[in-house]
Amino acid sequence: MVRLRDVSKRFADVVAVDHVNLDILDGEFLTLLGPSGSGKTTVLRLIAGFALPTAGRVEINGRDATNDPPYLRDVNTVFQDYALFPHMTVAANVEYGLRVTGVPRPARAAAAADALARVELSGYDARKPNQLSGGQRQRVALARALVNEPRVLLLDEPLGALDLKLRRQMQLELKSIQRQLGITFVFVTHDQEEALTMSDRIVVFNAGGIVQAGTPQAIYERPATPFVADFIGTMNTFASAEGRQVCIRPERIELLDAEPATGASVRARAGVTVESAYLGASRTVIVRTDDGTTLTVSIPARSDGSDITPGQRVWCAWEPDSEFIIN
Amino acid sequence: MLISRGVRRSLAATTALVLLFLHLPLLVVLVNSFNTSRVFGWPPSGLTTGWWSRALGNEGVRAALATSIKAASAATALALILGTLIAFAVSRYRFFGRSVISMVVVLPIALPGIVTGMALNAAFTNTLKPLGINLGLFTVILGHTTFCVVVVFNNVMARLQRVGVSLQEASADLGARPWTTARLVTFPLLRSALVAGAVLAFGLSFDEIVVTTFTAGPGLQTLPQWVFNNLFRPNQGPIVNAVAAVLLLVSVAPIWVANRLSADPASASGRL
Repeated sequence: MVRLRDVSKRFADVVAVDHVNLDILDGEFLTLLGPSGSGKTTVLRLIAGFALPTAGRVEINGRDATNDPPYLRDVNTVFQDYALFPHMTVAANVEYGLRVTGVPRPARAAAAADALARVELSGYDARKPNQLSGGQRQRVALARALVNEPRVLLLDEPLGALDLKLRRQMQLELKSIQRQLGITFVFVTHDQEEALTMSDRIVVFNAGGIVQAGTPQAIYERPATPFVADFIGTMNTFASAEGRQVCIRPERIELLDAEPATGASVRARAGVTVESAYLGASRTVIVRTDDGTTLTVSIPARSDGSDITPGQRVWCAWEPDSEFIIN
Repeated sequence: MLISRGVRRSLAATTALVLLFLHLPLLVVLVNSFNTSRVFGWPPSGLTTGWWSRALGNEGVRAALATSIKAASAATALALILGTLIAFAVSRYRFFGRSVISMVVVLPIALPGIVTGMALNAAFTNTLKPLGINLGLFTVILGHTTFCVVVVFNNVMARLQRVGVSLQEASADLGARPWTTARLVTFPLLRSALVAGAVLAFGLSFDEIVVTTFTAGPGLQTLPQWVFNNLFRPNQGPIVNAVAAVLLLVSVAPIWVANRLSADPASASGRL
């Protein structure tokens, strides 16, 4: 669908994107995830055509689009700040893509009405963008980008300005719209939880390059580098007896009152609880083990009040399958 | 800030005095243009519109008014084109000498008119005269354009910075070619800034006298020059008042219009 070959982008003396190779598949929900300045937004802009690569090749629908201006590319963008035209009504904003490509007035009015209905904003067509809430603007931006029926929709941190509840709701809505339309979504975010929730595939960026690409599960369960392990979720890292770096996720560790029945099938370490924080559905406990390692453990919260308190003697136990080694 | 009642009162009184000092003379000019008495006197002995009709009927006034309107319109048109182009270049592109250009463009408004006048006079006499172009309306227009560009440039720059580039990107993204984007997005967003810049430029040009004096050459007279030349002629006093009142209105109106138009197009007022 979209294919980046050895794409680099340099701004003055800063390398924003460094030799990126990426194949975006037809109909997938792909997330570009990374901290700010990692190059993910620049990659999106290179696909949209707002920036041209310093080196490399951008293909869209099997055609070389490296130097095509944005208006010749079969992709549309939902902007971070929405970029709604302030002097046009909601309907005029949504119709814009059809208007400039010469679609006659009745057809585009009908298409705009459909698009607004899809984002549940029917009846708002005569409003101006400044008369809408943030969430409503977001929906108008989405409807406007979808009205041209692009094969690929690019979304640049579109939920960043929304409050948490609205954000969760929009995450699910975006996902369901993508499934209904069956088009490719390329979604940029720095929020790892959002990436895990929405994506078919996640591409993790750091310092202008791709660090790891894979399904949310693969990225979470088997991070390829310490950076990915640290950036996505919480990760316990400690040295094994052989001096290698061992990683384990907090929710893979069990807390026991006594030493587990020993055997090769279970790893266990004794220690004392340092902190215990109630998070509603779960509880996070920090354990200082006798060999001096600090482990973060996430356990289901108990409702009977028999909760873990700081200063308790505990055993941390986990399946050997759950731990893994990062080079 | 918390201030005592006494201080507050004396501040209010001072402010009122300053405003009176600034604006009372203007009011006297306006009232005197309707005064039946021939001399600059107070209070007016009676009211008449006679001076206004005599001013309107005066050949010299009519010619000067026509010249002023021609000069201001042409200088404004030139300033709109140049100021807008420079503002786009400076705000949208990075190039060598960019910051120097934005300073040099704004400089003429700070330069003393007499220096601009002298310099332009020398430049025109040396470069245009050999080409057969003498000092006249054309050179006045060029002279006025130098400072009219500044107000257009400043207004357009401020607007471009405020609206950013993402709206143009959105337009291109949705399939609009550059001219379509300019027509449907960029121009509507700039329109009020252009109108504000234009009325300010027109006002600046309309009441300019120093640069005009150096660039007009013999035989050409703008309205401010006519006022200056007739102010102390014994019979023209009241007519001069009427003409001055016109100048006053033409110069003040743009400030008011520009203030109303400079509002952000994206703001709640929604005015464009």
